[in-house]
Amino acid sequence: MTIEKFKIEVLPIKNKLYRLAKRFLVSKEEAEDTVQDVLLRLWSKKDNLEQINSIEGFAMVITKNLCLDKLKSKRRNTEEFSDTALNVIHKTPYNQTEMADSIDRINEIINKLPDQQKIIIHLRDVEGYEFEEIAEVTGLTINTIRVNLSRARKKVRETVLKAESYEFSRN
Amino acid sequence: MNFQEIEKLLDKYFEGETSINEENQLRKYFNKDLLPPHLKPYKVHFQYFSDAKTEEITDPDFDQMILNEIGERKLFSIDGKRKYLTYSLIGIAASIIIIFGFFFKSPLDNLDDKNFAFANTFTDPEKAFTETQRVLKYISDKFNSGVEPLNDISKFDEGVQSLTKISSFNKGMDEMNKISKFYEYKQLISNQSVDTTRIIKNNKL
Repeated sequence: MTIEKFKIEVLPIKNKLYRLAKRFLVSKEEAEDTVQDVLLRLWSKKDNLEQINSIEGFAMVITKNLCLDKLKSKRRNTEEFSDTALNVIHKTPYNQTEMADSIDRINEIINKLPDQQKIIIHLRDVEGYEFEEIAEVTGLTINTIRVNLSRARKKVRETVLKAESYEFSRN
Repeated sequence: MNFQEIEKLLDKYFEGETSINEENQLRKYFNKDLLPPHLKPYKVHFQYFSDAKTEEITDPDFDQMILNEIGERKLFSIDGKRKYLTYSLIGIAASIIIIFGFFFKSPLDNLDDKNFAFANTFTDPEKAFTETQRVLKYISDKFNSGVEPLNDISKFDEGVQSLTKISSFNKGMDEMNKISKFYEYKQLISNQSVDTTRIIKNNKL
């Protein structure tokens, strides 16, 4: 694969990789570093890259694995990591504060999901992946994916409805 | 699409049974501003995922950074096989040079005395002697003028001479040694006093 081809076929998926990395790592900088790492790894395999039927799927797998590795070493290094990660509230720029609150809350609840549910709901509801594509990235069966997706979506619904009833009772 | 249909789709959605197409319909529906009150809470749910999809790498130099890195790697990418080939070629070239060195004599070795740069140019021995004397005298003159500034070194000797006074310091130090004798005696005396007290104690017992 030439640099030109790499520019056209591989570089444009960087934002998808970034969103997945950020879903796991939360930090913007760490996510960007990871994407850079992934793209350079892809380039080092440039001779075999054209034989792979889905470069995007392959890149997503590498991203997922790198992120999980990083999280593993992080969790090993600092026991209290999970606590601090949960306490970080990520503000999204939003005009309606009520809506922004709910969006932050959803973000938080997705961050708290188990890794499997997290990646499934991300690939489906953010990136619009088909089940077969999710299976390729996660290595799970379609049925497992469906069950985990349902659990993750219901968990998000729970938070949304709870927040709503709170708003309702306050008014 | 009426809201009963949407409710059905929502149920399907939360069971993970909707297709991508149906999920897009839901997203479209909840993007509307006017919604029945009981469906309103789901607006933020779908809004969240639409928003999340717009998130991108903000660093404007990101692409260039990658391309620079890739360009560099291309220059230095000597993979396993090529590295082996390069090193073995260097080795072969070096051995060829060494072998040539053994078999081919340097052209300087073939020069005999006659052809040499310092070959004898005088026929008359007397002339040669005077010429040699002249050259040696010239050299000794130049040599002496070079040695002259070294005369100042004698000043160094003067300086060193005054240092001989240090020997008197050594004498003083010797005197000091006698003080250590004093300590020896002191030690002896104290030991003896311990002994005597012990003796006294033993006597009492």
